[in-house]
Amino acid sequence: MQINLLKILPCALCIWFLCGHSAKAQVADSLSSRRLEELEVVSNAVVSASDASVPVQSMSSDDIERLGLVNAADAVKRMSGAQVQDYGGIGGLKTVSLRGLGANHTAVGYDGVAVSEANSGQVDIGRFGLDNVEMLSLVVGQADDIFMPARFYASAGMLNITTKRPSDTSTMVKAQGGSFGFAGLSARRERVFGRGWSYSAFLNAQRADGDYPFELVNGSVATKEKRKDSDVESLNAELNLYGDFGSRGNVAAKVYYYKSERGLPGAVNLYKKNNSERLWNDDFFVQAKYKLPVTERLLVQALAKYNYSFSRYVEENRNYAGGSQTDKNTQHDYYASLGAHYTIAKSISVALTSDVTHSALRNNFIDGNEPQRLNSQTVLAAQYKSTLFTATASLLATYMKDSFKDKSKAAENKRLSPALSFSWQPLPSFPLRLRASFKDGFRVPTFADLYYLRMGNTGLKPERASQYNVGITCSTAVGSAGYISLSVDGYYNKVKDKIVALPTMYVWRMQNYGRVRMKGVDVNLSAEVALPADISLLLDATYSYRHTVDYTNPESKNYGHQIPYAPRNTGNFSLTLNNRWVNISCLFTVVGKRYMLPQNIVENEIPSYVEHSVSANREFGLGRGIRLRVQGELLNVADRNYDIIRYYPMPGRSWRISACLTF
Amino acid sequence: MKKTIIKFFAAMVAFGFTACSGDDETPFIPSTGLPLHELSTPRYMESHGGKVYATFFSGHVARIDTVSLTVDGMVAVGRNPEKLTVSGEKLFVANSGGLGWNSSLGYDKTVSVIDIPTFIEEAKIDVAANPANILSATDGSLFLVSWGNYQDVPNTLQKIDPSTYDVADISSVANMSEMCYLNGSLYGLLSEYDENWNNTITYKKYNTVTGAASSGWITDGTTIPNPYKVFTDGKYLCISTSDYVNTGDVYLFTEAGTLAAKFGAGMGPRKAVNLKNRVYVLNEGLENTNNASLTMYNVADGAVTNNCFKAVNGGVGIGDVANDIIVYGSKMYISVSADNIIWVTDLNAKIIGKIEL
Repeated sequence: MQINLLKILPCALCIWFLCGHSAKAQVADSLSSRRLEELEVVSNAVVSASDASVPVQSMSSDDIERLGLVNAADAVKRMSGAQVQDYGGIGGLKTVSLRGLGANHTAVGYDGVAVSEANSGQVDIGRFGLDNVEMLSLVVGQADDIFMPARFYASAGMLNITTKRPSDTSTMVKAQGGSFGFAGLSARRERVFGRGWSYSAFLNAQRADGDYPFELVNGSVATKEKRKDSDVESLNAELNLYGDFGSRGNVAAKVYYYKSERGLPGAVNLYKKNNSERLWNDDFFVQAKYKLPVTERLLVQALAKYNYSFSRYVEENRNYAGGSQTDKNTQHDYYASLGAHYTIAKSISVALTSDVTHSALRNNFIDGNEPQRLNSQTVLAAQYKSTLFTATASLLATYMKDSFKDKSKAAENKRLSPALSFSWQPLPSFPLRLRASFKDGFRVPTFADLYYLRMGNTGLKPERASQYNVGITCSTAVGSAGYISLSVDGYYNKVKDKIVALPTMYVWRMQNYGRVRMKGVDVNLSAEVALPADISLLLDATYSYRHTVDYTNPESKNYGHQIPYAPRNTGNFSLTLNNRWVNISCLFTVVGKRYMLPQNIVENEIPSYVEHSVSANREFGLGRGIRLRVQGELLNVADRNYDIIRYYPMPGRSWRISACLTF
Repeated sequence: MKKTIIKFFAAMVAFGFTACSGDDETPFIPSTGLPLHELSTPRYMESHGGKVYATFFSGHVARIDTVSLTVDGMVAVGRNPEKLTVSGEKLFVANSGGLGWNSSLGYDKTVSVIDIPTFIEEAKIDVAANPANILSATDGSLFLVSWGNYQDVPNTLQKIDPSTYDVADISSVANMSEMCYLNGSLYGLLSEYDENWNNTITYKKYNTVTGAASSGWITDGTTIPNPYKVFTDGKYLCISTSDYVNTGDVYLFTEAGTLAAKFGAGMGPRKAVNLKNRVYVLNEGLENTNNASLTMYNVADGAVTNNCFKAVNGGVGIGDVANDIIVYGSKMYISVSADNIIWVTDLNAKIIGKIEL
């Protein structure tokens, strides 16, 4: 079923506006007192939160706007230590891998609740637009906030997406357009009522043809081609309800819907392909969070979520009897979490949280296994935190039980995972901090790993990742109009029991086989200078060095070689000039040479690339509180068709403009 | 007799060529009316009487004229045909049905018989599920390997009579999953799995004349890690290795079972052709990496040249996944499954034509 945007949108918007405005009645002026959580106000894009004991990078909505970023993948690409595997175009799959560990080790949280993906284990972050996002933060290791769901203690790292909380009554409408048939429309309405209630509603629809030109090089012959089957259409709607009742707690509830249809262009072939693939997705979830300060020292939190995912994949290919093959997957997830946070003394606190998840997958395969997973996780964490010293320790216990239509194939997994971190400011007068952390993370086999047709192996153990990190951070004002922040982290990671598809003759089989070691350095620098006449200059730079090597089998040809898609060097640089006329940002990304297969031979090399983009914006006040913000980007200015994933060329030079009205 | 046939075919070719000139533009194959674009994913090839016959996963066998280098005939066979072989004036095609394994249709279980002069499918022989590899011995009798379903339906080796079409299961004598034919005997290996998916490989030999079977035809104690394919280039018995992520190696054995050469090749070496002083090995490549390649082994000095197709053709690549290579007359033919083309080259691998489907 194709989403006919032209027909749906005007109707949807009309209805939505009418509903919103009819409640425009009485806004009582009796805001109950709220306890504001400590927020680190940063005006630079990629700032490493300097008193965190693990590397943390955050981007606020201001940073997202001035850099002209459109989805979560754009934002993560600008962070150090993170690699986005991008399959190209607006609709291409985009996943995040931290320090070469693999996308399965990165958890994605949406307003504090994990985004589920039990089937493939990887979340496509390209589907998270940024119009409704207040903050994005990437944590490598275990975050310092000990009061979070147990599920987040399991992964090696986490991408946290926080949506905008209503602070006022306002409406936003945004229209976007760009190259290759890109068009988008967003609208947001937020309203604050009396007695602590507020809501926000968000709608986004976008489409793109994605038929960008690229150059195909075959020996000495280079031809101009166009990317086919790269179109995408998506619809995203979100409704949030908040209630803040001071001493009686606060509640946040969300309903989220995402629907998309896209062509999958596949890898570029040197000659001719005779197939075409399409993917339809339908995702829906409801989640609710309730936090209650029971006493002065005891805080209790409860979370619940239900998630429904449906995907339909169709491959048209003459080689199938009937001319095509359809794969359908339906997944239901139920999640609940209950936790308590107790402040023992001024600087000491403990937290105990327990999560339960139930996932069930159904597909249309002939021997469909109908896997179900019950996952129970409990974490106990303790923290000592003062201005000069923070120490955090946690222990996560995981119990997982998988069951299956064929009862003989049930699987069980148990695991204890510790984490420990420190952050210390040796000189009270100077904001230089040292940090060290350790985390034992793991990623459980996905449904696909365990049960997928012939490849599945119910005897799989979780893949383990041990992470060690040491670092120095320094954030300080420079003079009266400047600010600089620097962080340098060195790390050593080990992955054991890596789940890989191992071929035996004729049939592939998932096995715990791989061993990988990573060493590296991540550097983040941010600086801001305020100049006269309301001009300010913001600079962000990141550099990552990583040495990611396979140590699985000394007999194999890739022993000691760099693993696929792990560049040795990557860097990002952005410079923004804010002023009264036009704000301009210049962005650079440099990624070094990588290999597309485990063997580091010339045939497997993917050349390094530099991407350069420019973004400009201007906000106009139209009187009576109405603001118009116009923004434009020119991406990949040098028009280079580079590959992130080999043979999935990225678009060359392209443009985007948007106009956003807030009132 | 052979000369008359060749003259006859040459006349047909000449006629066909004039009638078909400009065929590259028209989408139909004359005399069949079948649309050319229905052909998809070329697999294996055999040569006979001035023509090259190729199986296509779309369920067809196409006849390629070796002078005009165009398709001049097409016949529908079973589902997802793999290997084919010539016995007498007939083509025998193994219809694997491999792409239907996860559907209600399952694997195919037939061998199609095509009459070469009329180029019509005459019969379908019922065999064990998932027939993949079929060979003919010098006396015309056929040997077929069916891979089963890798679970409860096992691998079987069958002998088929080319005139009566009777099928005999000879797995109890000599079961093989990979096989090739050299001077009267089948040489191959059997791959077996236990309940814990541990894989054991045994090397088998079957003398088609005497009916005698033996295990372990490698006589000098060479052990081979990760064997992938067993094939012959007409002189040597070749075993290739692959772990599916790194490049593979090729072991050349003499008929007596002693190692003659071992060298590193490309990704998934699967077939070789022998041109007396040199051997070309076709490397399959890995899907979506456009790295199918050709390796040349110089018999005299043992020198190995990898990526020689690219070297000889100005850097042009073979394509994504290549499946088969044959030598016929003064030309070599390479079928590239994932790119829907068949390369026609000279005996030094230099491109002289391309059949695009």
